[in-house]
Amino acid sequence: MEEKIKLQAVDYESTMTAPTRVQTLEADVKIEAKYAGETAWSTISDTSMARGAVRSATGEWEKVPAGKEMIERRVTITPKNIAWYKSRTAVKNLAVPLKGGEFMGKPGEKFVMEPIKKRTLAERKIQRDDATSRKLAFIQSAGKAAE
Amino acid sequence: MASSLKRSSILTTFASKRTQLWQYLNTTIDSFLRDVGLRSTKEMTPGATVPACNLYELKNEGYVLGGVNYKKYCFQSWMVLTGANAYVQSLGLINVSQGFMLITDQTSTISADDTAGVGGFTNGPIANSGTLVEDSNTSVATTATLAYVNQDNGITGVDDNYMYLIVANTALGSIDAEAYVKIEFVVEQEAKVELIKL
Repeated sequence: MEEKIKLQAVDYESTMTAPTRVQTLEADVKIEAKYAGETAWSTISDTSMARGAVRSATGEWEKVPAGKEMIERRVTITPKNIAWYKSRTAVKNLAVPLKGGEFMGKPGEKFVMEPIKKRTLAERKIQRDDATSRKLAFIQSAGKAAE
Repeated sequence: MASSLKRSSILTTFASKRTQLWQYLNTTIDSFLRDVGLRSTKEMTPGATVPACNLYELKNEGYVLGGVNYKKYCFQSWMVLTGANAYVQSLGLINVSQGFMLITDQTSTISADDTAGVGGFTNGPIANSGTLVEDSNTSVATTATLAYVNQDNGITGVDDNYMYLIVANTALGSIDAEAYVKIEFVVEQEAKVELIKL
């Protein structure tokens, strides 16, 4: 059974009618666990993930080490290539602790990233116009400096 | 009676086959005319704030590089630039769902009024300071200081490629030109590509 971790940014992509999965997102993903009787977080993995639906380093969720009970899980996602998405820390408190040998997450568990602003047509126009003004100002100031 | 039924059946079959043949020939001729560039439905239409443009896939021009399959697209746009000495003309947005948009060819041209100079109009490539534009105060062609196609995927995400034509000569009061932008680019075979006319 595949235990893919899915890191997804759901936003307005090419179809302007409905939000779809943004496939190009890359992020640094840190997975930490807190075990029963411990106060500090233990780092399980700290890797870079690419393109929407991604795998962890092993392609699977890690398993809880034998003899431990996981009571809390923390996943910190820091977008790398698209500043348009906020960083996200997802903390999961487990009502029933996971025992040694159990996977730390469910198959296909998703982490949906939230954009700073939705990429609607109107928002893209605003951003485009801002960029156009910046470019024009740069060209004009560079041109004047050269004169 | 039997003979008339048979004849009727033959006629029906003949009519059906004739229709099939007609459809086959029509499709074949249509494909041929498109292949040799004599028929096109690639209409260039403007967006709310961008000039007339279109985007289409160049079938059978893809290739494999480093084990990755690429497919090729053509983007073109036509516009008149007038009334300023620096243009950052938005050409729309090309969204590529996967991987990067890599421009492989740029055959844009620009035309300028030179009626008070050599006479007629210039026609040349868009190539920075090698680009001829009209000094609109004199109707004499002169060179731009900047002229190039700008692809910016740092505005709303790497999948959003905002396209611009930049033409400038800020030492002049105003420059005019007509520009035809034509670029070809490749994307990964699995990528969805869409032109969003903002």
